[in-house]
Amino acid sequence: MRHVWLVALLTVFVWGCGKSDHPSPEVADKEAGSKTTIESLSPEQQFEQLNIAYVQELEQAKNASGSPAVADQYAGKFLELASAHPEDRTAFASLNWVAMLATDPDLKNQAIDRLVAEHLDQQALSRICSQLAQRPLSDASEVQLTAMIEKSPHDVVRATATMALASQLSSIPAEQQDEARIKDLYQSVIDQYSSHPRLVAAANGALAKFRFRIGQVAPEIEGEDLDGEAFKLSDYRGKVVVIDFWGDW
Amino acid sequence: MYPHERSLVKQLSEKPFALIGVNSDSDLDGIREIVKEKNITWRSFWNGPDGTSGPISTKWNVSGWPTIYVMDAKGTIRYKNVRGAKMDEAVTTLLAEMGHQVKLVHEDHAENE
Repeated sequence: MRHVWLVALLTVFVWGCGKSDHPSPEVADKEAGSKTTIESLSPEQQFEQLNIAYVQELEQAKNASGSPAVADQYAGKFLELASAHPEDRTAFASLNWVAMLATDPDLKNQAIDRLVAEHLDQQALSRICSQLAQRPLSDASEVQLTAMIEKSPHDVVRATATMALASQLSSIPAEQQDEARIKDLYQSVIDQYSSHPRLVAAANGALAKFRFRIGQVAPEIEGEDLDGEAFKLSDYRGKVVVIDFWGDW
Repeated sequence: MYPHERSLVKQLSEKPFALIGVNSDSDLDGIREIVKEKNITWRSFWNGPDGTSGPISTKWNVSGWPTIYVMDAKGTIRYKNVRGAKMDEAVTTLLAEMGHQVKLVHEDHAENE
């Protein structure tokens, strides 16, 4: 069901300015969908047809494990559509569809590579970055995100790409991580994107968590005890220390 | 919590060990009473009048209570959110690194509270 919602959202989002005035084509037989008939449709109509067919097929897939296969099957078709009409905004919509919905990493990467190469001006790339933040690091994603960070004209894309790269770099085993690079990425979001307070807050949170990871030297605490006497955590250096944040509520 | 902590503090009184609380009750007088009543035998920082929004817990990015960190003698964080028997294991491991072999024995209930 989530897929259906997402596809609907993508379609509405991409065609934001509302339905076009194309006359409805005579494609009564969606199942047959002969090549000639499909190709006589505008790119936008072809996109919509593919979407509709995908949603229908998805609903017919009986088991959950059937749904990735359906998405990837249609991903191939959307990639072809993008290749067939590279100048039309259908190309962006199609590549975006694949980037967001395909599960096969090769298909996803094909789409994202082409988006980065041919549609870097699109602000909607920030959504792909948000998704990439959840995915493991790969050579492909590092190149894609770096390209968006360096070349997107949109703040929001550069900021979300930075967050996604930092997140991916943090997803590998701790001992292999480049801590300095990760911290720099989060710091750059804090320094450069104050117009995106939620991303700044997320960067601050991530940086803070960084300081308290296993393996980090704990920061100092300077304060007063319950009798008002000043003391410091570093007074206990040389001892095994348990710090217990507690309350009696 | 308190019986286990108290037992730990008592058994390790001769060892290079410290249990330090950071208390986030906003009512200082109230919490001083609790400390006496419940026989809390270890030192705590007070997180200030803003309670759970206070400066220490904010700096340490604490969002849930209790939160526990265990540090070695160099101040490096080695364990997080270990309680009861797992806290015992963490502490005995780190003391062993310093050459101190300890065996912790808690009275009934103390081990898991």
